[in-house]
Amino acid sequence: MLFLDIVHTGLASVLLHRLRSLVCVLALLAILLPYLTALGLSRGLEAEAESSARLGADLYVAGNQFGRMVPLPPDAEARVKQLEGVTRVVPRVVGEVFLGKDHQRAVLLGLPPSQFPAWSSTVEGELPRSGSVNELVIGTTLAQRLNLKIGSMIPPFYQNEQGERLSRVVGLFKANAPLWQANLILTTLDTAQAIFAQPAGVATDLLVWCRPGYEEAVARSITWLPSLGDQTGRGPVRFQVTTRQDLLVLLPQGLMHREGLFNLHFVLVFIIGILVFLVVSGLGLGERRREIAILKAMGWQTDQLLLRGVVESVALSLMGACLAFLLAWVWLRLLNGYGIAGVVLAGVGVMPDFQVPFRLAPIPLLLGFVLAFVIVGTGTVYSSWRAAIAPPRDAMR
Amino acid sequence: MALLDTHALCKEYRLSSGILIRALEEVSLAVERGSITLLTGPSGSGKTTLLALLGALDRPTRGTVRLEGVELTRCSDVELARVRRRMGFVFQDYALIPNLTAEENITYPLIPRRVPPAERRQRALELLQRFGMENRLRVRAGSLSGGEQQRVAVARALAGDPDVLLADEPTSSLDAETADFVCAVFQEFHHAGKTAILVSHDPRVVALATAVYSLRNGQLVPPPTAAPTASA
Ligand SMILES: Nc1ncnc2c1ncn2[C@@H]1O[C@H](COP(=O)(O)OP(=O)(O)OP(=O)(O)O)[C@@H](O)[C@H]1O
Ligand SMILES: [Mg+2]
Repeated sequence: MLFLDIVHTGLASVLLHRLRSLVCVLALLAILLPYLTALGLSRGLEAEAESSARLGADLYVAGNQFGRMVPLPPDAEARVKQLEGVTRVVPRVVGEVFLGKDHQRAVLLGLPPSQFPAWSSTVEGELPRSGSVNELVIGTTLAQRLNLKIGSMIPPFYQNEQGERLSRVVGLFKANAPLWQANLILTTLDTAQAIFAQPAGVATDLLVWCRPGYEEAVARSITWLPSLGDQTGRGPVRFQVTTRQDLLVLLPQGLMHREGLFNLHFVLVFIIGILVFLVVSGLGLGERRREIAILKAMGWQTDQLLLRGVVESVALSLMGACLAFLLAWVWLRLLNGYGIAGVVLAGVGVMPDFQVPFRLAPIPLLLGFVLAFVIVGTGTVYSSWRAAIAPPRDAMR
Repeated sequence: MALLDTHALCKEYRLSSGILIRALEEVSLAVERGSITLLTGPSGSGKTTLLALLGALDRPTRGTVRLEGVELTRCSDVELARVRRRMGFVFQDYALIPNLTAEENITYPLIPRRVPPAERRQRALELLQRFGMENRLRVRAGSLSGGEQQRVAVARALAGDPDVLLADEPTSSLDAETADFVCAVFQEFHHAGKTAILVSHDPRVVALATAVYSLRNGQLVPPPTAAPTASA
């Protein structure tokens, strides 16, 4: 009963010291909002990349010549296919192209039409077919920047000895498609080979699916395969395998490439944290000291006054953390990460032209609350304690 | 045994300029149970300082204060809080918490006394009614007039049903009629067998006293005398 009564006065004191509470919550927002937003964004990216890695192949096989990645010659596919435990092999061609007068960078991906993966359902329009005109599916950012629609024709954007062809946009990725398609051009394997002037059958890598449990064994057998013939006159090409596990391990590091940002933010947290601490312990200090001294003179005990301070801090921290969480959601969901997406994601402007992926998990909220409580709590409890241990008449002056 | 007694009580303040102020020097007195003890003396003579020491609100520089024979300087923080819960204090500057309402100012001290919430509100209402302030129940203490604040301060001191009432100039801001009423309340408190220690120059309050101590420059003058106008 006594406990609850004191808790109640602690909550009431949030309203009792309005200015202090307001400044406190605003300062907490300044710390927690960027933290939660950036973390939510990078978690969203991580989750998206991870899920696409999980949906992807078991093994990724590429060629290696002098330690450099090179395309695989046509016979590679057949040699991997006949290995024990392999269920499916899909060759693909991946390369960089530049489009438009601004030389917009894009990633061109060619797959056999029969092997377009499940995510091709996020395509609006049609999927590309092989033919005399290059048929392409264009990513959202690319489509927006180049003002492309379904049916748009693109003049030749590459040069090669077999001659250049016109390209036609047959499909667009939908706006809610995952982020990685933003700068992607999807086409058939043949078309991609033609664009990059590669002989038929050449692939930049092979996607390999295995029978469950065979992944490691297959990966080992592929690395033991004899080197492929010297076709370019530059020595033999060896097989190089990346497993799904390798990819998953690489992901978090790959995506936290803006770690510096987080470090900077920690410095900020530190500085603002000290400011909040000073505000909390200093703002209205005289008034608070007197208030505590009066309560003490009226028979309150030091521990009861401290409990009141702790409850007040918990309430303020909770308000700060929850408000930050809510605003982070608004920022990411409704404002689409305006401003912050460009800081966390490489190559994204102030206003992203795709739906930014994000994931606001409860753990950062909890961490934010704990951080807020440590800052506000120490400030409040320390000043309350200082006032409470002095004789009331001293503290009342 | 006296309810409260002091022995060679001294309180000194050292100012930042290094000057030593002797607010109280060698004060020895006894407050009998059931008495109304009056402390008088000119401004700056140490009345408020002495009252604070008697009410366990301050620590003496030297000397002792005893409540029922127990030395307050030897008490722990928790024990001192328990002592303060047996007392009711009216401060010279009222010392209300300005952002709390009149009602809350009265009920907050009842929380550590473990008075249930409903009863706390009931007592506040009754006391404010007695002092003619029931319409100020929900008003911020900071926006009350001086006289109103003083009445709330007296109500707050009485709300905890104290054994000892210590009041510093409790009628200084009140009109004659209200001051008379407050004196009647003190008289009633006295008739209930309780002890009051009052600081006042108000003749109405002085008339209540059963014992008087005069202070001058922090010293008692003259030695304790019985009040000439003991009316009880
Ligand atoms: N905290 C303090 N620091 C320094 N001097 C103090 C302090 N408190 C009281 N004094 C001094 O001690 C002396 C006694 O003060 P006290 O308040 O007890 O007087 P008082 O008799 O209550 O006066 P008044 O009738 O004006 O209220 C005064 O000279 C005052 O200046
Ligand atoms: Mg005084």
